[in-house]
Order: sequence, then structure tokens, then C-alpha cells
Amino acid sequence: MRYYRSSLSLLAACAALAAPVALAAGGGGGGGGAPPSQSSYDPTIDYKKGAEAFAAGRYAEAAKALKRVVAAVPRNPQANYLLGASHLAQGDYSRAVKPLETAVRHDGKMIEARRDLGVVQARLGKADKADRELQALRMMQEQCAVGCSDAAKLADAIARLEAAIAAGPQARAAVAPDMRLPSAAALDPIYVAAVALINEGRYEAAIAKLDAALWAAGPHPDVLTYLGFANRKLGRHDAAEAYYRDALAIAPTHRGAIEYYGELKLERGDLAGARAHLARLDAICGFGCNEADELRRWIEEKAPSAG
Amino acid sequence: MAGALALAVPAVPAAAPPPFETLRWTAPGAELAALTTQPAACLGTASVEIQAGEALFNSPRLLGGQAAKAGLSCAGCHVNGRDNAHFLMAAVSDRAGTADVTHSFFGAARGNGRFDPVAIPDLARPGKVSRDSAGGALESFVRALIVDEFAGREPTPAMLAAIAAYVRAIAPCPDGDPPVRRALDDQLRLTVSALRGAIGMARRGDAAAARALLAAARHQLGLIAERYPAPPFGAERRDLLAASRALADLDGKAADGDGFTTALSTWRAGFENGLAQRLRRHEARSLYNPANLAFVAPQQDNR
Repeated sequence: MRYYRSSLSLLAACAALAAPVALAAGGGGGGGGAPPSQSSYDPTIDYKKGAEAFAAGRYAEAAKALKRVVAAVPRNPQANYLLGASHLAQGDYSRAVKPLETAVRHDGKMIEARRDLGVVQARLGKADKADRELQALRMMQEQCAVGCSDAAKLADAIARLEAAIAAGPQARAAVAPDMRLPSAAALDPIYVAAVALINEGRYEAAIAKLDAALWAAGPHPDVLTYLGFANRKLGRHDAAEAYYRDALAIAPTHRGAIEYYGELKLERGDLAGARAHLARLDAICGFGCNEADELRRWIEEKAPSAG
Repeated sequence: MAGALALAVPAVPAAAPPPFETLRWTAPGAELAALTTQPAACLGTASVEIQAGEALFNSPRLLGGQAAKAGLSCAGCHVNGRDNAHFLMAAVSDRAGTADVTHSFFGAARGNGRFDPVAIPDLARPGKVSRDSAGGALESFVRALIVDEFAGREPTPAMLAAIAAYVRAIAPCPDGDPPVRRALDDQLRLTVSALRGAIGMARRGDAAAARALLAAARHQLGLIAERYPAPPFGAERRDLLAASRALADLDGKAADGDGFTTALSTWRAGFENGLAQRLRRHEARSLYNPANLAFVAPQQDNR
């Protein structure tokens, strides 16, 4: 377990989850006043196991770990994709469909998920559904300006899916997943860069970095919280809310998620909801915390008589 | 609680996270040193203003953004106003004792787009900024650090003056600066300094500074709680929490002149004569005692 030094732990200082990458030392100091109510399950641990097994080609082992992640964080696109791709690699196309569909539903821009979902549908003889993914990829290709970073990946995905559709359900060759995961060692620099981008107001770029962090770390509440924050700043309130809820499902006392979700509620005009979040922070932060200060300030500024 | 306390500090399960804030930015292998020792500080006789400055210097909530969320104060890098040879944060440091202070991670205003960590300076030594109180260069520098580098809220002039007074008072010790042991008294002293400062700020009508100092005091109570794990110190932890919440209740009354200062004085007297005494009696069994920190060592470098 890694509990110090990680820059990810800076936000995690607010989290009450003992995560493998960013460890929140809750409980003391300026941290949580109350003992941290640790989540009984940390999905990032199984994600790491699953990702390592996946990268090593041990797909059955990967699927076993990733199933547990998906059960805990059903909307996580990365875990769903890796689970689906693990089934696909084992030739279990029927089982691959649902997680790949989930990955696509929650991250429509995930090229690998659309490609592999299309391949799976082609193998299952569902040409219409395979074609739907092909069309989606082609649309992404059209929207991808000349020289856009995904151009080559999109062209390759389309070619592979076209071949799979042409081969149909008679194809017998195994489908080897084509997905290179960032190493866990890359996580801190990615995360620090993402937070720096957020501080600079470059939210789209930050989201791209945070997505990369999700591939490296799995559904980490710190990363999910900042994805919520960046989406909120871009006005995507529903997406932001989903990220905050996911973060809090994993780490119910995550200070950052509680604060930012409270701010979102305030932006939506839900003063009572924001005040409930502040009360929650005050309960958690027995020795005070920046998150409570900030949310209190927001409430006082937006509703001076209600602070 | 008597007899059972022979085992004052229970073994901490290997998988449990350490409850120490400072380990968030401590280099692997230096945990025990960081928890048990600190650079010496020789302030001499400190005025109330200097005490207030030191309390603010040790308060994460003086800063904003990532630092404040993590519990990182000025003293995180400058322990006792000196340096911190053990400071290490991934992608912010390149080796222990360094930090990239122009990284947008902490605040965008001073971000330069380059990874260029520098050695954390010892504030007891002459630096690049004049300490001369006449020009106000130090106050301007400190303000820029708080607001620009660490995305903190604008400090009041009195807060800046207090921090600058503290920084000017930091000096090398005549005996060659041997590291000194960390102790409960560090936190008790800073708690009282914060309260004295809060009273002083309230008397001059600076409610914002008084509130900042209340926050500083509460933070120190939290640091004490880190060293008194439950069991066996459940009662002390509960009382520390209650003491902190009592200070929180005073936050909204900082502009209330005499009422506020009287309440703070009452709180302080109760704390010093009650809970502080109990904590002192139990200090040898607490995690301030290096002998009780053996569980920290096996967790070194287990990334």
C-alpha cells in the first residue's frame, strides 16, 4: 500500500478511503475529525489486479477481478471495457456484450469500446448492431479534424470492424485485445498535470488527462471528483453529478466530492441540498477543513441570508 | 482506562493507513524521522504578533487549493520556519527537500509550464527577499505566496504583518541547530499562540484574522488527535473534538468584540487546566513518544 508522497493524495487528503495509489490519511490533523468511515470495498485494488492480468494476457483472471469492480462501480467505462475485452479475448462473445455496451453508454468517445462491441456483435451474427458501431466510428472520424490525435486509431478501428463484419459469425480466429494501459507509475504525473490544467481553466484538456488517470488507476474517487469538477465548469451538470455520485459511492466521506457536489447543487438553485452537504462536511471535519470553508463561502455569497 | 493502558499504543495493522498528515509529503524511509524530530527554532521571546504569525504559518487554511485540502501549511515545507529535508511529493519534487513552486498544481498564477523544483530554503538564513521591515518587501512576498502560488484567500494586512514578523524572528540556534524532538508541547504552544493572536486580532477589529487563527488552533488540536489513537485514548479524542467544535461555534462571533474575546479566554483557561493537563500526563504513552512509533518503520518504501 502506498500512503505517502503521491500527489494524488493531496485531494485524497479529503478522502476517507484507503486507496492503493493515493492514500488518504484521514482522521487526524487538518483532516477528518471523525475517524474515517472507510468503504468496505476499494475498487481500485481489484482494478489494478484486473488491469495487470489483462496486460499480461491472463484474461480469465482479469475478468474475475474486473467483475468485482463493475459490481461496485457499474458505470465505470474503463472497468467495463476491460471486462468486456477480457470476455472477447476468451471467445465469450455473449458475456462481452453487456460490459462493452455499458462502456459505450458512459463514454461514447471510447474508440476501443465501440470497435470491440462492433466486433462482438459481428461474431454473434448481429450485423445491424455491428454496423451501428461502425457508423458511430465513422461519424467520429468525420468529426476528427485532419491531424487530430485519434485519426490513426479511428482508421484502424474502422478497418478492423469492417473486416469483422465482412467475416461475420463464421470467423474463428481469436480476437486479441488491442489496448495499451498506462502504467501505474505514470499516474502521479498524469494526475498532477490534470490538476494543473484545471487550475489554469483548461477543462477539456484536464478531462483528457483525468480519463488517462482512470485507465491507470481505475475508479479512484479523487479522479472521479475532478472529472465532476471539470465537467461542471464546462456546464455539463448531469455528467458532473454522475461523477460526484460515483466518487461518493466509493468513498462516502470524500470531502472534495461532498464540497463540489454541494457547489453543483447551489448552482442548480438547490440551497437546501448545498446546506446539507455543508452539514455533512462539518460533521466529518471535526478539526476544520478547507472544503467546508469553501462551501460555506459559496453558500454565503450566493445566498447571504442563508449561510 | 487505567490498567489496560499498559499497552498504550496498540499495534497498527500493516494495511492500515498511517494517521499522520505529515507523511503525505514525506520521503520514503524518512517517516520516523519526520514524525519524531524537527529542525530547531530559536525565536527568543516572541510577541503576540509573532506568535500569531507562527500559528498562521502552521495553518493549512491560510493557503488555498491543493495545499489547504491536503493539510499542507507553510510549515509543511519550512518546519519551524527552517527547511524540510524530508519533503517529497511526486511530480512536484525531484528529490527529497525540493519543490517546484512554479507548478500550476498549487495555483495557476505562478505556473511557468516547466518542471523546475528548487531546494526548500531555510528561512533562518538570508534569502532573496529583504527582511527589512521598512520596505514591506517581505509582506509583499508573503502575500504573493499565499494568493498567487497557493491560491489562498487574500490575507488581511494584520495577518501579513504577523507572518512577516514571525519570519523575521526566525533565527539559527547558537548551538549549531541540532534537530529537536517533536512533542505535545509543539501543538499546545501553537494552539495557545493562535488563541492569543485571535484575541488580539478581534480587539483590533480584524474578524477575518481572528477566524483564521481559530482555524489555526483547531488544526493543531487535530494534530494532537493524530498522536492519541483510540483505543486507548477515546476519551481524549472525544474531548479534543469537542474542544475544536467549541472553537468552531465561536467562528461566527469573531466580530462580537468583548463577547468573543471573553469566550476565547474562557475556552483557553478550560483547555489549559483540563484537557491539556490530561494530554500531558499521557504523553509518554501517546504517539509523540518515538518508542511507540515502531509500527511506522515496516511501512517504509512499500510503494
